[in-house]
Amino acid sequence: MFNRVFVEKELREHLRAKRILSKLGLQKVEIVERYDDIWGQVKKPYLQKRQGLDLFIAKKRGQLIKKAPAAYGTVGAHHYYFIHAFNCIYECEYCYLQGYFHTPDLVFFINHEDILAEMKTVLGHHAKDSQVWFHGGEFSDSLALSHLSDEWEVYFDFFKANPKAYLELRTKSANTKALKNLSPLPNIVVSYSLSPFKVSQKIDRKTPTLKARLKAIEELALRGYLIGIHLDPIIDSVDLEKEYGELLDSLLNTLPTKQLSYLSLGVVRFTPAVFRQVQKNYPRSPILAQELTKSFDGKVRYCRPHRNRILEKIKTLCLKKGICEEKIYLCMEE
Amino acid sequence: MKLLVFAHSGEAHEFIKNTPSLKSHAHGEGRLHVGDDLAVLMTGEGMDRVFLHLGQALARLASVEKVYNFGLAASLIPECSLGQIISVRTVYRSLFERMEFKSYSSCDDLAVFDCISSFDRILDPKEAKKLSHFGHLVDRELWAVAALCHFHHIPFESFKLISDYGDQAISCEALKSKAQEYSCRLYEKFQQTLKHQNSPHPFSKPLDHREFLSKFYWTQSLRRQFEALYKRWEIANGPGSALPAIDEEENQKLSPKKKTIRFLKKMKESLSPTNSAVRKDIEAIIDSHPSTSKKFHIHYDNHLESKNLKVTMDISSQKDLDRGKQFLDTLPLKKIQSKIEGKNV
Repeated sequence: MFNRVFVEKELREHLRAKRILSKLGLQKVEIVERYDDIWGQVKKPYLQKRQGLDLFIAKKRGQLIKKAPAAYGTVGAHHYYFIHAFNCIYECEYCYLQGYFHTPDLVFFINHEDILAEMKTVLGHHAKDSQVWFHGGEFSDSLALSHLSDEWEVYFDFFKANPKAYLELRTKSANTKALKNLSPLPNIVVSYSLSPFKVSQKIDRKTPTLKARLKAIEELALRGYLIGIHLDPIIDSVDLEKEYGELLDSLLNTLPTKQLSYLSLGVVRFTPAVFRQVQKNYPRSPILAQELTKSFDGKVRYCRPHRNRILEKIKTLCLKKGICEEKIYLCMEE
Repeated sequence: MKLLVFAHSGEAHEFIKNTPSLKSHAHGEGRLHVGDDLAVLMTGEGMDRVFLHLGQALARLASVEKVYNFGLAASLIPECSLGQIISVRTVYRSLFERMEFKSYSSCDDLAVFDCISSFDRILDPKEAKKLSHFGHLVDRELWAVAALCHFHHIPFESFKLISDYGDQAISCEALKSKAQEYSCRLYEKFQQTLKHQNSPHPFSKPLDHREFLSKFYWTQSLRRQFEALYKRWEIANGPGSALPAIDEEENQKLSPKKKTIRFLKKMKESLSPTNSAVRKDIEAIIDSHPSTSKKFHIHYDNHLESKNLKVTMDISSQKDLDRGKQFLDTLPLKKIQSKIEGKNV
């Protein structure tokens, strides 16, 4: 599965490291002082991931919990994200990871107890009645390799003991194996990013199909999990309403609205560095034919009237389909 | 022209022997041989020599379309075994204690092995092990070849014959004694590569609009604008699709440059219908405001992001001031802001 696996010296006897290696069936690994002596030290082209990746098993150092940017999650709550891994096996054409790191190689951080201890500290800084969210999956899909990394059990224990804290696991994966062995909690939401079939088929490369994702949502909902939906990134098309209408119909046939925790809407957007990478990596991408303009802050996106019109259309559609307004929020919009 | 770059004359021997049109370049100090559509350069060993001699050659030969680097390399992994010829994917550079961040990739999409260019021969197994974390082969020149190609916007490919292993010292004499054999093998590889590359590329297509475009006047910047728009045009409308029609009669009144600007505007409008519609609406609101004139004008955010308006007024008399007040009183602020908000678009 991986070209090479590197393990940090201080983690070579760590139970989690051993478990991952035994699942990979590896006899030989490279022991290194620190993962970042190698990872990110040279500019490794993003698309080399197609010819295989290296995996680093490492300890996350520095700030383990970071404050999320404004309009990241539901309104009125405090939002933080944590980093359990770097990089992703999928290849979505709009993915910001292609311009974020200097290498596509994967890192599994395994010092989850340190991350949970920092979550506890963050919780201590907020009033007891405030809602504090911790989002996972910012720099790596939460579930795609969770059968290997197998980290969520300790998080479930933590959130069971801290019912005022909320956990979001962001994913596009149909790999629900790790979650099936755990008991759903009212403060844990598994959230899926979805795009209409035609769009997803073209630009969500190497991801599970829309059908597979809907199937996974159905299975998790049946087991009692709360589900979040991100209709993000929305890409404009002449059939926008029709395509999203069909998507919402399929979703709501699968997911009872009472188990829909929230639904976020966001339009496609890029930092200049990521946009340059999209142009380089996917020169024929339909995204590049969109009406995107370099905005006042350097970001590449639809102009404000265009964005608002798209968001309004999709929001109206969601309301028509019976999703209540309180569950809908606009991601990264004022 | 293809430029073939070698470190040593021994590696280039077979290429020169089999290309009778090659003649020694007058200013090439015997290192540069130029033929009809092929040139051969022997740089000498190491990146410094490559920078010097390839830099000069690229300045002298204006028509180089592609650079091929042929040479020897040491393997850092068992998968690259002695005698194999490897096409290099990406090249990195070792800077003694650390790695250079900048890397360059060849235009061979099928290549899977990476090379590290080092200033010294790698003889220490520990050093070889360290380098193997970043690449599969070690040579002495390729990074410099790639850096110069990048600077000159020339694609490159590199083929390395594995002559030894990075952690096992082999004498230079032993390598020299095999130079002719290596040169033959590399030449064969070059012939195979050319044969493969001469077959038509499945995605290549001619630009079908030369005749149409010749009707316009092109400056460098207008051409760049066209090229950027044309990329989007092809994705949106399909390869080779017709460009927007031009009204010959209307265009006759315009200067050649303005004609081109109008054509590009048409392309932009067609590719950005929402953006264009909003601008047209806002401009119509501004134009319909009774006091709008050269003296009193409303400016809106060009990015269509901010709802703030800027008003410029040129006041030179009490009459202007009174008109200015009236102009502000009747400013269509809400109408314009609602357009920027995306209402009724």
